[in-house]
Amino acid sequence: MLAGLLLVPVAGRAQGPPIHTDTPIMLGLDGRGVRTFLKVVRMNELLRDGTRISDPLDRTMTALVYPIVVPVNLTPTTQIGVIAPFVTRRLESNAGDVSSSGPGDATVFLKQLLVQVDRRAETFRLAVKGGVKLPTGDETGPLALGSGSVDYRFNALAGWIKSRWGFYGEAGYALNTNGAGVERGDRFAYNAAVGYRLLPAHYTHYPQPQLNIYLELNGSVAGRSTAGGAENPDTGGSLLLLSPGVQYVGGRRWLLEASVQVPVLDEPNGTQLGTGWAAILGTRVLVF
Amino acid sequence: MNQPMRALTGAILAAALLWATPAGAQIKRVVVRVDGLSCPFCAYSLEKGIKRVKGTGGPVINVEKGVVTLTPITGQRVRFDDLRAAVSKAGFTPREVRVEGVGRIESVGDRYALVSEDDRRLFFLAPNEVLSGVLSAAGRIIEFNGTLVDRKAGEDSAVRTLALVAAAAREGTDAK
Repeated sequence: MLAGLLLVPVAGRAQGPPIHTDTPIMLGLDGRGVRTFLKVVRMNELLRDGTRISDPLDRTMTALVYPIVVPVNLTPTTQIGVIAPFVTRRLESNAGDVSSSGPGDATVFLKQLLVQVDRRAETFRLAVKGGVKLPTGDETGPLALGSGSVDYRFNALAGWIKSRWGFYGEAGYALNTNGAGVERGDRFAYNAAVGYRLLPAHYTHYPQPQLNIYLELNGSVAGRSTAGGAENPDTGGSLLLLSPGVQYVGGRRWLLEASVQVPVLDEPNGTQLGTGWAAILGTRVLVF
Repeated sequence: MNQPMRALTGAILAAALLWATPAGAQIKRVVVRVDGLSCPFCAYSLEKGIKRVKGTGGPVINVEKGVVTLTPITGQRVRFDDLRAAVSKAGFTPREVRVEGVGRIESVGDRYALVSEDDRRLFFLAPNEVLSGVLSAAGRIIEFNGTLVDRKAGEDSAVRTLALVAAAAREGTDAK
């Protein structure tokens, strides 16, 4: 499950509403905006095969991920971008504390719109997205910031927005390769989100301040890691997070958003620290 | 009539003509229907794109109705194709373009056209019931509201065709 923290930026690649789930709508920032946020993940329950057990070391892992996401629209239907995270990890235990900070693994991606059906105040879109995660983070030490490997991402995105409601879905696959002698298990991620414009009730003339609320389910199933041909039984597993969030669009060029995530399903393989909770606070700004 | 009286009479006649001739025969408003406008934060790209189109003033975007309203700049030709292209480039789907204004109906061969006060051809007029109903006002200033007709294959005219939705002759305007 610790490896999942390095993959946090995958979920953090969400662009435009909603907060954690990526969308096929490549607008909102005219392809020239910046998204950034602070995400905190807290893991402090030792689980064995999904059941909580006592931890003689009383361990708590806290990870802070601070990515900067810069997308650029090459055309109205094609977008490229980069995600560059800064990561801090801290493991506290009664045997001592360990921490590390620095750049994490960066990702470059390309998103392509395939289907667009527009009606008045309504749109339905499908897109695909591919990405390459680069080993820009330090993979050494007890709390590695990167995987040391070049990994590949494939995602399918769907979105339907009508008036005040928005419905989004995402399915993604992370194909991981060998890095620093370890090959992390491949990971299948799935996300679903519902968004609702709370205020104003009638959005007439643009621009107007806007308050949106979201409820998301963000899940993943990860395989075990292997090193030297041997599978590590205490890696990989299943995780499903329930993520309510709120988003305030203040004007033409900026918004603020916040969300918490709590596990509704947390079944790491073997013995691992489970996810206690996660929280995100961020902004999106159109630079020019 | 002596010289001063001739001058005075000429000045009065000129003033009368100026008063009788409505100024500013032109396109007053353009309304573009835009589909897919469901993300208000996303409308920024649409606003930026529309502002770059020559001939139009700042757009007013109504997200609920899905329309963009523009005020043409006096004396400049509105580039309707550029407007539609700007909407598409912003990631939305342009639908009908509605034009409101003031002009004069003139016969051009077997067709009719709307012309401005300085005889600049604004639109050709598509034959329909509204046009038939207002032909009696040919040569007079009319207030019109119409929908831009899509170009036919191979058509490359700078002057677009308008299908009138409503038209009425202005009171007190006589045929030339």
